Order: sequence, then structure tokens, then C-alpha cells
Amino acid sequence: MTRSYTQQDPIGIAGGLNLYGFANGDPVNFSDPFGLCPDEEDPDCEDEEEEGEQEQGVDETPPDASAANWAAWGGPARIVVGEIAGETTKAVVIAGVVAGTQAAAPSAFARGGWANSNQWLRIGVGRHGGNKVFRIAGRVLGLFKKNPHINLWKIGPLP
Amino acid sequence: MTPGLTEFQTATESLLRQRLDAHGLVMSNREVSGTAEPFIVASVRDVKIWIYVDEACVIGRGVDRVFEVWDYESPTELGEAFIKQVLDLSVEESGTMEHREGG
Repeated sequence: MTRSYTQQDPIGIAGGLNLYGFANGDPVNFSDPFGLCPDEEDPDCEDEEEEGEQEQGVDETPPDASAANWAAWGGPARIVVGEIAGETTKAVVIAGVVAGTQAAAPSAFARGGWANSNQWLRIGVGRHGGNKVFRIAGRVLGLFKKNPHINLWKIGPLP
Repeated sequence: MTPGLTEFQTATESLLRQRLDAHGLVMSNREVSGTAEPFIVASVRDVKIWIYVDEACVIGRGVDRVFEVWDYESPTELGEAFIKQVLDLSVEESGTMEHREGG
């Protein structure tokens, strides 16, 4: 006795013209409980079953936990978090060093202090005579010329 | 204190007058210009000076120097550097003229 489905094959005519057929008419040697496999000998069909088994956790081999395989462990998120944490730590350390230095030697960062970068090189609007000018200035220029100011152009009279 | 001028401008001008007076020099052609940023402009012999709200400038006798806030730890220090520059130029000039007059 050959069994058949009570409703049409879900895969349609891809499994054969007999829409009510079951396992190619050989239920002893083949099975197709969901009616989705057109041919039990079709290698594609077998691959799908094997992949399905792996997805269901049949393969219990743990993924390699080395850095190269962090992705298999959902690692990218961990790497990103780690990088952010690392950068945050660096930023905190740098901020701490700067804050500590400022606390220890506040005059160094004040106007005229050696750590005040504006003292060494600055560019912007300044005053010259009765005019506002755009200039480059700073002690770095003093290394090359006597006047550590270079007035690039006159903006106009001081307001 | 002249209305519209900052404490820096008033104090620096006052100190400059005292120092000049000690050398027998006077500030001439003094006037206040500018409305948004009033500044003092004057001459000491042929050296022209500007005293801005928090900075200063000297031009004359081959020197063109701006005294900006970034280069000094305090307004007092900036003012002293400015006055020293004015005196260096004007007293030197004065000495040269005396020498010429004497010669």
C-alpha cells in the first residue's frame, strides 16, 4: 500500500506532477514528512538537512576562541567595547596627567606660561596701530625674525 | 580714570607718564579713539604708542612691536614690557639728540 498526502504537496510540481505523492512513492526507503524535498537523492536536499542539523546544535565543537575567530563568538561587540574601554582609559589617564600637571604648575598653562601653546604660535585677529589685522604670531617666529609678529593683512580700523 | 578706558589702560598710561617724567620726557598728541574698543594713542617724541583695552603697541625708530596678552602672565607684566620698550626708544632718542646738541 502506497501512502499519500491528504493535501497537495507544499513544494508544488517541483516534487513531481503528482501533487499528492509521498517520497517518490517509496515510503519504505525514503521519508519526507514536510513534503519539501523533491528528490531524496538530490545532493542539494541532503545538504539542506545537514545544515539544518548543524543549526540545531548537533555540531558541538566550540568555535575557536582565538582573536581571529572573535566573530564566531559574537566577538565584534566585545572588541568594540574593549576598544572603547581602552581608549576611554587612555583618555582618562591623559586627562589626569594634564589635570595633575595643571594643578602642580598652573602658571605653566596660563598666559605667558611655557605650556601655553598660544604663546608659541597663534594665528588670528590682532591689533596693530589703529587697525585690526589678521596675523601669525608667537615665539616660534621669534626664532627666525626679530619681530615675532607677521601681519598678513589689514582688516580695518579698530571699532 | 577716564570713562570708557579699562583699568589696564589707565594704570599703564599713568605709570608710563611717571617713568617718562623721570627722564624729562612727556607724552604728546594723546587722544582716545574707538568706540567699541576705546584705545589711547599718543606720541613720545617720534615714537607712536597705542594702549588697547588689554594690549599695547609701539611703532617708531625702526621698531614695530605688539604686546599681546598671550605672551605675558599678567597685565602688569605686559604693561611693564611696553613701558620699557617705550623708554628704551625714547630715552635713546633723547640721548642721541642731547649728544647732537652737545656736539
